[in-house]
Amino acid sequence: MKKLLLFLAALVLATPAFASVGAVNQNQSGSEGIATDMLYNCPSGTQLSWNNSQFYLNCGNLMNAGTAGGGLTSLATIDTGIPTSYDIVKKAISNLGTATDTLANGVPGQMLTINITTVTGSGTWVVTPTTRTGFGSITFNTANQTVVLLYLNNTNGWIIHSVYGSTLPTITQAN
Amino acid sequence: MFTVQLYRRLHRQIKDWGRENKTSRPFSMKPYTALSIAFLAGLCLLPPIDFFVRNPMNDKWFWMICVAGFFGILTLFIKTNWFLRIIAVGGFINCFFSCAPYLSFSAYVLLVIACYFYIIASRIENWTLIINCIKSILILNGIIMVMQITGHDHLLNFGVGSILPQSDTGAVRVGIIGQHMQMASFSVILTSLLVHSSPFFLAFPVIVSYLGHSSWGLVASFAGVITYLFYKSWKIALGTIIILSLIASVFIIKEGKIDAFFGNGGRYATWKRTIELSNEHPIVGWGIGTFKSVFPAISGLKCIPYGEAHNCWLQFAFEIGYLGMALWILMFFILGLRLFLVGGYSLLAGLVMIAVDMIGHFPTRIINCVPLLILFAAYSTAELRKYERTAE
Repeated sequence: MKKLLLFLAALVLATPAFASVGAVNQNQSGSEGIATDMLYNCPSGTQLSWNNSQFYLNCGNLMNAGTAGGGLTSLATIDTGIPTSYDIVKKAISNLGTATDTLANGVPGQMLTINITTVTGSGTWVVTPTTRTGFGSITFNTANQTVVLLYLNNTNGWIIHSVYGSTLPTITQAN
Repeated sequence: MFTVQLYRRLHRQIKDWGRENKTSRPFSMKPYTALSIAFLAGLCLLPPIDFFVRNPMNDKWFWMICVAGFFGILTLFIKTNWFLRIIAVGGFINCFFSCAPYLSFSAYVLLVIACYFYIIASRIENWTLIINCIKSILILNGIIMVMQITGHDHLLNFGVGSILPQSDTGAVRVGIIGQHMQMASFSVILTSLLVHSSPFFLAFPVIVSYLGHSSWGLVASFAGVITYLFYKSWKIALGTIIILSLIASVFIIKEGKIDAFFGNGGRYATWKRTIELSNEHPIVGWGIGTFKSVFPAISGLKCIPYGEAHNCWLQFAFEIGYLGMALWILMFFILGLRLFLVGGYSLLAGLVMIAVDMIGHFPTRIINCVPLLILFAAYSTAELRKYERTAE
């Protein structure tokens, strides 16, 4: 009984924190036993496939406190502004010289993956987070370049968790 | 009648099948021993390969974490050490307060696997097989290092030069681990389990540390030697302290380790910054498994990115707060005290070696060392039980 009480006490303590982490929701209609309060910011979306997994557009705010599976979005070449309500952002770079974008603040603990799908000609894309630590900006110029960012807190902002690519993106140092 | 006799014979055979014996015949081991050996061989012999495991995406991750959380909580109902229960349940709760929950929860899965490895290892009855496995790992590493020194290693180095400091360039590898400092740390942890068999094994980490230019490996080995000798004769131990201190000092000065320690990119700056950042989250830390990603980004150090604090104790403070660090210190202290009280000096020497190594290296973050550390804890507990039974 003591152990059970200890466990329950721990669970109660963890509940507020757990709420901030949230839960995955693949069910767009919410008809298969998923509670209504789990369907936060999850209207009917477009299903996408990536890495043999399925994601739903605009289905992930609850997921943003640092978990995968919060959704994927593809930015068209003309799109500006990186949405932070997804886990994965895919971007096609156009042949219009250097495009620049800012990345707004996220949710503490959030991880965001930026992946370059295609690059036309000699186009480059420079991403500068509003709040960041350890770097200034990231310049993408090759297909399949990937950067995983972690939003630590509102003081440190975004930090670089990992960088992938046969040619790594250029990361400028912090001022 | 014949059927009854056959049944009895079969029944006896099945009962004997799992019984371990001192002769260590192949396949005469119990499942706990077999599992431990598989875990040990699989991880301790992991070469420096890029072991990239893609994190599962989508809801599979949630399922994995929930299962890990379940097994963590289940430790409350399994007969095992209370510290392990605190680690298994506390680790899960700590993830909710992490600055990077995704990283912490992912790390928690490995933590739970480690906890269950301890539970399995603590049920081993005959340690002869395990100790023989550890001796085999030591001999295997010894053979490979000799081949590397003589330029005959066509397994890891393909005959490239000697094993000395160039190893950091990646061209030349040291031992199976492939990095001179990590190899020195590995040799210290490996030997900590073997001092109980023979004190002569203490020569192995000394040689490896010398060849790998690792002063901290040398200091940890010497700490083990001195602890061991203190039980034999304190006069000899005092004399040895003076001699070994002189040797260590000459080695440290000759290798320029003091400049390296205080210079740019040295341990001093890293430790100082680790403490400063730990002070920002003194109770729960930044979250388990976050150091590697968070520290290089926010430390502001203009040097090679430190993925580990090169001090396990401080890394505990950073990741799980000062409370967590205190828990680990308490665990070591209680184990050391119990070994001291029953006169288990060879294991105490091993424990001192591990504790000292953890000040300058990061064995808790080297995958090859982790199973050995867990086995050391299980072995010490088993030996303590034996001592206590004998005393009764």
